[in-house]
Amino acid sequence: MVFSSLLFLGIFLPATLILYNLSKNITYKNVILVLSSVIFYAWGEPKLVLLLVFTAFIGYLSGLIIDKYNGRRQAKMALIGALVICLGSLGMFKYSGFVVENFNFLFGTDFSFAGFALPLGISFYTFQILSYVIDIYRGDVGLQKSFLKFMTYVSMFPQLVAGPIVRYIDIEKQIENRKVTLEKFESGTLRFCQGLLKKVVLANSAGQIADALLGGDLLSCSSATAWLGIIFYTFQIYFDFSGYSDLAIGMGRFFGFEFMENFTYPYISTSITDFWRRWHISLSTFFRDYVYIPLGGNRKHQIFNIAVVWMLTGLWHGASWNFILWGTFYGIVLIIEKKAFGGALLKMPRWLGHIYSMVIVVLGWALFYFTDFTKLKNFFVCAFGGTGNFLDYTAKSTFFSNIWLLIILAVSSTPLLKILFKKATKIKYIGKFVPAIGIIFAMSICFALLVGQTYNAFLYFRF
Amino acid sequence: MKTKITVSAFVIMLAIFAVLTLMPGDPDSVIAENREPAQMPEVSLNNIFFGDFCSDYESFLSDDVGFRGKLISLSNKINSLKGIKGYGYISNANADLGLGAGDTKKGLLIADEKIMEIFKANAQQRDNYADMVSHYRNSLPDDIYVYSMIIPTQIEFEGDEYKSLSDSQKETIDYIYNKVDSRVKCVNAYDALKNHKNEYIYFRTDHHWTTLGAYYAYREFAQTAKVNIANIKDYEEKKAEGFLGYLYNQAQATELKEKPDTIYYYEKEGQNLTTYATAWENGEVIKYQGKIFSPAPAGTETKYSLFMGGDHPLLYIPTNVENGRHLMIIKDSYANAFIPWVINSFETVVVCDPRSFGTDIMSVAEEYGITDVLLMNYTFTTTFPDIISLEKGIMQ
Repeated sequence: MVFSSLLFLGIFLPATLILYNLSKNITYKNVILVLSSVIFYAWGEPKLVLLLVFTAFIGYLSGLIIDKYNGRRQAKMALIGALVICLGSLGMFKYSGFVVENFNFLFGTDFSFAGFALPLGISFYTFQILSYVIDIYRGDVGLQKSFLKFMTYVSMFPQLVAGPIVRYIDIEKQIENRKVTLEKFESGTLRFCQGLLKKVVLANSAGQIADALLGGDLLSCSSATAWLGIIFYTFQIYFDFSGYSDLAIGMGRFFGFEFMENFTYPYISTSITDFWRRWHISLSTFFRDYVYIPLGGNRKHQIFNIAVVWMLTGLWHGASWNFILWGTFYGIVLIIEKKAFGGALLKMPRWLGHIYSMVIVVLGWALFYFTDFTKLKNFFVCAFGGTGNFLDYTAKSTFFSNIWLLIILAVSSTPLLKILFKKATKIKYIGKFVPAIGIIFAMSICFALLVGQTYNAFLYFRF
Repeated sequence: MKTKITVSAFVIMLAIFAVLTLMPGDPDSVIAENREPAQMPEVSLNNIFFGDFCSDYESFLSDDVGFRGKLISLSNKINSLKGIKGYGYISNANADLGLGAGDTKKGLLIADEKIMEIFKANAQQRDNYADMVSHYRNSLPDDIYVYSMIIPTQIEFEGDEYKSLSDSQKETIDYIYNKVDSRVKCVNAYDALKNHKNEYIYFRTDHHWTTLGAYYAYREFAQTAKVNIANIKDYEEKKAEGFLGYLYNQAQATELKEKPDTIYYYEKEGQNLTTYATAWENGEVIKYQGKIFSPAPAGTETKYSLFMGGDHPLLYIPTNVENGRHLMIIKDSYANAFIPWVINSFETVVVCDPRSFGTDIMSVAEEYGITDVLLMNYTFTTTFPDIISLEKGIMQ
């Protein structure tokens, strides 16, 4: 099920909220959360719920074993077992088709195996389960004896399919005991509406244009069309993904959970190092804490560690070479920022830093967008004037017929609107109505657009 | 205080969502899109776990949402605020036109108060199209003339800026005309239309040509077929106003709502002939009658179905002409505005629509003593694999 659908907004969410608040009993609340999450997950592909429950059970079971044999050989075996099974199933479902394809290519064999349909959210929930198992092995979290509570953590529908990657350590206490105050609920509603606007108004509009501009034969396009297309895609992917995180964080608060922030205005970064502190924070901190630091972090063979982390980051985004290329590209840029020019890159004037960062980021999204290398090459040929066609009617008409949208996209990528909103709520007499007006406005627009638009695919479902 | 107001607003809005989603829908808004509303799927364990219950239920919900028509027009209003429209813009229609158009469409250009389909040539399908035409020539007896007429659309005759969005339709037409069996007579509708490109030969909100456009192509065809040619001056011009066509609905170009098309049609005493239709439905043969011109009753929407009441699987029209020539047209809906002209030049006109035709061409040709077979399609059909194979399939 997707958040931005009539089914979710008109039936699933209202029903879940009502049922959840019928009783104050925490076990009842957890049961409702798990059941609704299972329905949410099963909608459309019921069979794969079994995989989710199985993987969660493996995490739960190895937690029990690790706790019992704390520090002994059995605990290590349980940890390794859980890692093998969880990463194994992730590998099988996400990467087997890719591996077979490359094997065929390398050895000229002809195994006809196209891989599995990617189970929804597998990349996210596998990492969540692993964080629990590793943390309990390290002694950072306590044992969760109840499978119901463990499932509450793993399956929670607000963040199940597209993050943020919530770590058990962060919500350990909230699972046992949580309270939804009116203030918390209020902040949740505002966050929810912000996410809905980002997804339904901004991401979907930008995405439609990006696909129209980049989907055709790029060699017959002008450079302006190629750049405009990738800029719209740059906006689409940010508002799509951060909108999803806002929805997750907002709905988490409806149920008393506080999830970590996942995005803090990545497009106002002054360097790529800065960008990756602001983009998909739950993923980069996961790789930092569970891969980079265990490998030795800054202390030994740092370059190697960075390279490994960024190859993995790329691969995590999809079973395709372009994602590995995309990750490697960032690995190289980050190594250059850290090591070359004595860190001079990080000390450049702010405005230059913004330009530099955005150029890298936009080029990065081109590597990310085109899974087909021929198309990727054509894109670069076209973008850098190789077709000899610099400006055409498509670019001109798309630019003018979406000029207000472009301005809104750019402004919404900065904290400006948030600051204005805060100021408006402080206005005498009418300030207290501002959030309510905002909510009515946002939700009406989004509902009308959802009815009106057939285009409604979540980008991050691929991962 | 503020907190309570905010939370109440959210709860009320969510309740409104629920009511709108669950209340009975607005089926008229779906019918306006030329389709039937999706039905509530069967609720059974088998359908839920192994069938398409989930996606069918969501289709049902989106067709059944309360005030759907009003919400869609609100959505269109919001979408129209994205920028300045004066420069023209490209809209991407998702839905198919005809059967299985799918990804062959590049979208719609909305500019200068018209909506134009952007053409994308399809190298493989145009070969198939040419083969299909040759197949007719090879299958029919030598004494029956076979004609091919491929009709370009509006964007082909626009200035360079708009035309640059689209592949050349002339190239596709020339390619097919060169490739078909040399005994097929190819009708040069292209130049006939081009010579009148500044007249009202195409609708602004629909993908079809007007009766006037069809008239110029008809003259060209009648000349090729060496039959008597009707003159538009001998006919009384009538009009049906307020026509918002298929492309208007596709593009949802609400800014054109106040600028609809007018359908002009040309009548002569005693020439609004009776048409005899045959349809095949669930293995049953259904026969019914109609008229060449059936304008919508006063107070209802003007539609392209003014011509013969729309598309029919098989239409038989005996005319007042006596020249021993009996024409069969294998067509898409482009022929509908053309038929009122061609009844002036043949003794019989039989019209077959391969999309719904339920028997084989050969037996129909024999039944009506056909002497001439015209395969007419608009250029886009040369990119639609489904229609081409259907068109080929009905000729055994």
